[in-house]
Amino acid sequence: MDGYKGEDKEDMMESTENTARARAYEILAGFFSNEPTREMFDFLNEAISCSIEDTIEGIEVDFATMFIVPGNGLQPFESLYNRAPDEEPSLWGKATKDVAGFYRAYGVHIDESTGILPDHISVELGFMGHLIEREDNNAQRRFLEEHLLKWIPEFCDRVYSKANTDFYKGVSKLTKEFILSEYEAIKGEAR
Amino acid sequence: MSEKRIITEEEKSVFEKVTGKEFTRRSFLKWTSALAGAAIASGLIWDDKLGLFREASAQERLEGSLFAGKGKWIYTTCQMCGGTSGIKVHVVDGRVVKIEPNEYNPIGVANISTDYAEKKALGGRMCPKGNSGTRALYDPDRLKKPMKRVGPRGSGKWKAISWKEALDDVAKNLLEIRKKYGPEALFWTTEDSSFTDMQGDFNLLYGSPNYSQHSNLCDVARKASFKLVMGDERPLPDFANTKYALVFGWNFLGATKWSHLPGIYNWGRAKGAKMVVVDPSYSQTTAKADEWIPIRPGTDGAFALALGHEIVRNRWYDEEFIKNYTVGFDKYAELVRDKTPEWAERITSVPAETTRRIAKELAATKPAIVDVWSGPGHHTNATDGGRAIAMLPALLGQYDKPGTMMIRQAMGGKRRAFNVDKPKSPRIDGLGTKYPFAHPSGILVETRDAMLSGKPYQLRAAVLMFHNFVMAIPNTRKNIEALKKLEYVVVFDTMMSETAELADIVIPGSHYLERWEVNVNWVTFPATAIRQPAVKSVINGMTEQEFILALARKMGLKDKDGKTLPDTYPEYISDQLKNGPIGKTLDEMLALPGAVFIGGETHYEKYKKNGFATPSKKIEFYSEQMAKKGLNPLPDYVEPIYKPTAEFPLYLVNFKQSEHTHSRTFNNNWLMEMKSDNPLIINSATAANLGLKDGDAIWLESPYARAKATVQTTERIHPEVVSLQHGYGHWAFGKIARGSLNKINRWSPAGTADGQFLAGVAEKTSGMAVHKEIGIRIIKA
Repeated sequence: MDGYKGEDKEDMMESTENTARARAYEILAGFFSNEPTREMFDFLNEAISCSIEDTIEGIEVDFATMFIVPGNGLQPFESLYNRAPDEEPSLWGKATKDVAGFYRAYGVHIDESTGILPDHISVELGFMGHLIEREDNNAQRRFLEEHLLKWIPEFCDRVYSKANTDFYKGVSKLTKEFILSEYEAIKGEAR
Repeated sequence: MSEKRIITEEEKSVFEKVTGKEFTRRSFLKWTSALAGAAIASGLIWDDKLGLFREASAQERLEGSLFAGKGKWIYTTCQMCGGTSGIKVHVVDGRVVKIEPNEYNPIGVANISTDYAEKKALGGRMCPKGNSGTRALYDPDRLKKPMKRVGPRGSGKWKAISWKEALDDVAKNLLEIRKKYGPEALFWTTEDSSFTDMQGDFNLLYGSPNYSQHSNLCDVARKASFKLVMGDERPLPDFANTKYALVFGWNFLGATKWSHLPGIYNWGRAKGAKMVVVDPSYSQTTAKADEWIPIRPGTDGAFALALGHEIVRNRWYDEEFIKNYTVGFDKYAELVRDKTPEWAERITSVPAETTRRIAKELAATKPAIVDVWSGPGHHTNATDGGRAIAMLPALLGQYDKPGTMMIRQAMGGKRRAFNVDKPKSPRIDGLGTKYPFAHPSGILVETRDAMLSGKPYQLRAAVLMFHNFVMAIPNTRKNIEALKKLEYVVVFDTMMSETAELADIVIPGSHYLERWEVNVNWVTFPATAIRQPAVKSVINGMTEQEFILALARKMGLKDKDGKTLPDTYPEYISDQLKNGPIGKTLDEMLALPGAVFIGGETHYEKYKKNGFATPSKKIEFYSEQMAKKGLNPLPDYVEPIYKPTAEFPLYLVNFKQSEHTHSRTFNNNWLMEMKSDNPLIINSATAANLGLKDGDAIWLESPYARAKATVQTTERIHPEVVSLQHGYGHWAFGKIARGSLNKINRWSPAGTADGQFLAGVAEKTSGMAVHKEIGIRIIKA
C-alpha cells in the first residue's frame, strides 16, 4: 500500500478504504448469488465502459452451466473444496459446520429456517463485508486465513478454466486477486 | 500466501476488459466505491435481504452455547423407496447428523398387531438406503435452482431462473396449451407416496384426464391378480406365524421394501416354518429358504396350475371353505384337469416329481402362505399367472387367518371432493376401456406410445414429478423419442436426470427430509404416519408441494363452486385427516408418539362378516366380470410373448437389491460403494459354452438395443437366463451415477441399463409395464 501522511488523513482514508472493501465484498458476493440480469450487464458495460463481448444470454448460460447445473463440479460451497483428501465432497460438510461455528462465535446467527447454507460463497463474502463494517480486523484476518483463502482462490481458478464468457473469466480473476490482495493488506496491519 | 503471483498477459487483458483498467488493489477499490450506489440499485450487490448478519439475540447466544451439539430428534418417515419405514432424525444446528428407526412405527417391526406389541421394544429397522438418507440430502449434485432450456431440447444449455419466473413460465404455458389444444393435451405423472392426491386434484381442476402414477411400473399385475381372485389388491403375508411359505419371484430379504420383512421372516423360521422360493435366480431370500425351485421366466402360472391339478386330483382342498366362500371351483377343476406336473415340466423346467412333492407339502401344512411379486409380475402373462398363484391359498382356505395371506385394514384421510365436469376426452392410455381391470395409476407404456403415435390424440405437454421417464419405462429409445415430440416438458427432480435433460423447465425437487406427507402403512392393522420436514430445504426455494399450490393459485384453478386448493400442503393433509376415519388434525397427529396413529388390532377372517370384495362377495375361481369384458374368466396358461429365439437365445430378466431404488439412488456414493459395478449375471455352464470367463467384456443385444456389458458367472441362476440389476446405466444424473466409483470395469463403468433391451409393452389385463421379458444374445467384445 502506498504511504500516507498524517494520522487524520490515514484514518479517513482507512475508513474510506474500509467502505470500499465492504462494497467490494458485496459486489463480488452478488456476482455469485444472483442470476445475471440485463440490468447488471448493462450497468457494468456502461459504468466502466469495458469491452465485454459476451451477450447477456451467453452470460446466463455460463452462470447456469457452472453454478447451477450439477455435475460440473463448480457449486460454490466451501465444503466441496476445503476438505481433507479422504473426505467426500458433500453439502453440509465439516467446513460448513466450521463456518457456522465461526459466525456464531462472532455473534452472528444464520436462521436455520432460511435453509441457506453458511458456506455458500456469497454468504461468506457477505459476512466478510459485515465484519468490515464492524471494524473487527482480527476477525477479518481469521476469516480470511481459516476460510476464504482455503478455497476461494482454487475455486476461482476452476471457474476461470471452465467459464465460456469473458464476464465470468473476469469475475473469477477479480475475486481471486482481490482476496489474495486482501490478505496481503491485512497481514501488514499487525495488531 | 506470500509468494508473488505472476499475472499472465491473458489474465491482465481479461481484467482490463471487465474493469476497464489495469488491476491493482487500489484501482479495484476505487472502482467498487464508485459503483456502490448504482450497484445496489441494479441488484448487483449482495444486500443481505434476508438479514442474515444481524446480531444474535441473547437467547440465541445462550442456545448456541448450551445446546451446541445436542440438537433435537424429529420423527418422520423414510422415502429412499416407497416402503416409508418409520425414522427419527437427529438435527443439530439445522443439520441432519444421523437417521435412526422410529420404534413407534410398525413398519420396520412387524405387520401383525400382536407381533408389533411384543417386539416393539426391540426397535425398528432400516435398510442400507434408509441409512444413506443423509448423504442423499446433502448430495452436491442436487439441483438447487429452477432452470429454463435455452438451446434445442437436450442440448444441455440452461439458464437459471428465479422461482417467480419459473411459476410464470409454467402457468403461462399450461394455460396456453389448454386453450389451444384442450386440457387433455397435458400428461402428468408422479412417483407414489408423494402428494399424489393433491396432484390428482390439480389435474381435476385443470381438466386433464391424463393423470398417472408410478404403480403400473411396479406391481399392478399382482394387484390385479389378487383383486380379481379375492377382492383385495394387496394382501400381506404373515411370515412370523406361518408354517409354510411358497414364494414366487420375490426377493424380500435382498430387495427389501418393508423393513420388517426380514424380521418377521426370521421369527417364522425360528419357529420351524418351511420356505420354498420359486425364481430363475437364487437370491438372498433363496439362500435363507429351505428349497430353491429354478424356473423359466414367465412360466410360474403353469407351475401353479400343476400344483392346483395335484391338490384337486388328490382332494387335498378345503371343501368347507370352497363351498362357503368361493365360486367357480368346478370350472377351475375342469381347467386344471389336464395341467399335469409333466405338462408343466415341459413348460417350466421344474421336474414333475418336485411339483407333486411341493403340492403335497403345501396342502398338508397349515397355516400356509402362497405369494407372488414382480418376478412373474413383469411378464405379458402376469395377471393370469398371478391369478393361478392367488387361487392356491383359496383352494386351501388360507386367506386372512394367522400365518396366511392377510387382508389389510387401513385408516387414511378423506379426500375433499371437487365439483368438476367430466373431461370431454377419454384417458389417452385406455384405462377403463382397453384395460378394464387396470389400476387407477394408468398405463404409462400406452401413454408413451400415444405420445409417439399421436393417437387417439396428440399429447402436447408433460409434467413429470419425481419420475425418470426415460429410464423407468421399458424401451428407452422410445421414451426419448416420445418426450421430443412434446411442446412443453416440466420436470421436477432432485438430480439432473436423463429425463430432466430433455425438459423445458427443470424445478429442483425436495428431499423427503424436507417435506410433508401422510403415509398409510402397509401393515395389517391401521397405522398411519406423518412425514414432517426435519430441516428446511437446502434448495432454499419452494418444495414441489408449495410450487404446485402456487401454480394453481396463479392459474386461477377452481371447481364449479369456486373451491380452490388450499394455501399450504399441511392444510391439505390436515383437512384430509380430520375429515377421514382418523378424525385428527395434522397437529394432533404430530403430538402422537412418533407421529404415528395406530387405530386398532389385526383382525382375522373378516370375510365371514363382510365377504370378499369381489362382485360375488366370494373368492372367484371363475371371474364373471372378466368374461363380460371378453377376457378369459379362468387363469389358463398363456406363453410369454417375448421369448428367446434362435437369434436371441437367452432370457433376460432383471433384479433389485436393497441398496438401490429404481434408478434413483445411483449418485449416492454410500450406496454405490457397496456395489459400483453391474455385470450381467450368467450361469457358469452357459458362460463356458459361450467361451466366456468371469469379468469378460461383452456386447449385449436384443432386437431393440445393443450395449456394452461385462459378465459375472455364477451357479445361482437358471442356465437359460441372464440377469441385470435394474437402475444402473446412467448417462446423466451425476458423476457417481455415471460410474466414477467403478474401479474394476472401465468398459461399462456405469453398468448396463436393462430397460433399453425391452420391447416396451404393457400386460394386457393390468397394464403392467413388462420389465422382464425379452430374448437376448451375447457377443464377446
